[in-house]
Amino acid sequence: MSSVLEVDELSVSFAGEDGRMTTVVDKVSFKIGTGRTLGIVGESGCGKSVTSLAIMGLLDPASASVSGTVTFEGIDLRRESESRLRDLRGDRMAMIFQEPMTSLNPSHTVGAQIVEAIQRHRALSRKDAEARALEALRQVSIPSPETRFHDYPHRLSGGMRQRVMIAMALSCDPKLVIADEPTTALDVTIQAQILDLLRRLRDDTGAAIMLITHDLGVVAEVCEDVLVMYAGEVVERASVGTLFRAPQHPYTVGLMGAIPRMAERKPRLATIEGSVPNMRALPAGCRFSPRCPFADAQCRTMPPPIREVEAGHTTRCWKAPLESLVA
Amino acid sequence: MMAGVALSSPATVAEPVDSPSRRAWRRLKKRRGAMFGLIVIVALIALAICADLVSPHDPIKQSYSAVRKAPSLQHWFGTDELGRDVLARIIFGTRASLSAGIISVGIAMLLGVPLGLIAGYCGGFIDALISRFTDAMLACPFLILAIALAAFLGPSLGNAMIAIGVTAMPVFIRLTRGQVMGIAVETYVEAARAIGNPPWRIAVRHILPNVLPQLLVQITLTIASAIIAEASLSFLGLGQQPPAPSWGSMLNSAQRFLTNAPWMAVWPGLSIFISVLAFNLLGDGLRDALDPKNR
Repeated sequence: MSSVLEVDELSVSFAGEDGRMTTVVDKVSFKIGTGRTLGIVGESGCGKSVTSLAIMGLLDPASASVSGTVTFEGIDLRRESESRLRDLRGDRMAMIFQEPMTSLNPSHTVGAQIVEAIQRHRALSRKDAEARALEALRQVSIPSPETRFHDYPHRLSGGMRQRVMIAMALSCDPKLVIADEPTTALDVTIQAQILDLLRRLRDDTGAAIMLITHDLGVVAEVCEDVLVMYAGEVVERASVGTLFRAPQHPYTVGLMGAIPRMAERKPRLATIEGSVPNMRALPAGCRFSPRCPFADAQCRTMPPPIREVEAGHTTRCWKAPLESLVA
Repeated sequence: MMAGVALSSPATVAEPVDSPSRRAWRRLKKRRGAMFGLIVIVALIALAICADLVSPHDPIKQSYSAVRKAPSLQHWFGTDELGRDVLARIIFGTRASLSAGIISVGIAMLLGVPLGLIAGYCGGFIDALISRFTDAMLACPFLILAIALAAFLGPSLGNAMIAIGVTAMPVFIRLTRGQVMGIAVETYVEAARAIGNPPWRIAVRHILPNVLPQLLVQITLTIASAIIAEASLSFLGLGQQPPAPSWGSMLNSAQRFLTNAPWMAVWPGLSIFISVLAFNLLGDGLRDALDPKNR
């Protein structure tokens, strides 16, 4: 399997007001294969979005310091010039944002915005670019695309706008699509439609998708591989089947327990006790130890390394495999 | 759901495009004050353009047999101390006032908007430099600075326009900078970067159009202040030069005859009042119509 994107020990720190650096993403490594979908899961503030912005090179170098390597189709993105990165963005790597209501410019028509993206990367006449934009709108199943083409964003619902964003992202046939919480702002039925669309487009275009979400349900729907992040670190990585069958990090177990199910009636939703640690004052040992029901002295003093528990399944937990705890 | 309805209609039928400017216009039309202002402004512009056709007399032709005559059928607004027809001078004065208002604000905008855009978008040292410069200019009262500049450049209507334009510039820098900083963090600007746009294109195509509504309001209100500024400079002899008519210089010559020829002061005063009121009413209406909260 050749990989489209390889991220190796990517770290991102921001300078605080007092000049102290806070590391928000800590040595994150992963790969995405051609046509694969990788889900990145974690709570708000765990560094998911920052990771995606760092990959796209969209973090402001004045405030964020990035280290590590990001290799996209054999190109070392971190060493490329800004103008070369601009040529790649929107062309071979595209991004879909969380807020469809605000990610389209209110001053331009939907069609003009897609045409702009196409003409930025393809030497097409206005007419050809428009035809291609219309095709993109059709591809994402927007009803009466000829009409919608001339509409301003405010006339479209959230779901429609997200379809437009997806059409724009796909207009230049990217090899990698980074979708940052693409369904979070939408209601549940629309969520299902958008996920369906993403899945279909992946199958049609062969683009790799990096799907950022806090929702394990979404991951189970569309992803093949999962990366679980906690407090800026990767804590577990596995294929979707493996992760749901035998999670090997207490945090992942907690996340799964927090998904409400229709079948079992509980008086309260399950939660993970405590809250995400302050990134400026991290626990000495395992970052999850203050909230972990299995934590012992070793967990609290020594940060666990990431290690493989079975082929293709890695976890950052001293106690793994967790089955041994239950038995 | 809307999808079903849209699907059943033939795809070729184009709906009227509901652009943001069209919606703002619809809202503006409902505001009486703003529409009154707009009508007065259009009328004043028409008057300024067609001054030669409408004016009953030559505005600079003196007549010693008709000095300081009260309004009559022959001279509707009366005559001044040199026997010139006040109505004709008011009509031609519209040219000086409106062109001073519009051209000086044009100058202010052409200088201020790019500087504000650069300051707001680039930030850092460039922003600090432009902003401190703006602060320094805003520290001087508007009219004092305009008078100083006009006196420095020499008395003429053209120089008065430049002086007013430069003095009004910091307002545009500050407004544009603030708006740009607010818009630059919007997701759609981030999205514009994510499709590979270079910074200049993001600034001009994605940020600037969203600053325009606020700019339009500011332009209208600044034209009103510029008209007053032109009148003040002409009153002081730093604007329109005699014998060419200007409302400000007419007021100046009228002040000596306030008791025995009040019409000489009333008409130019009223003209300034009405035109400034019209621009302010339109500006207020635009502010409400373009308010993003109303979208």
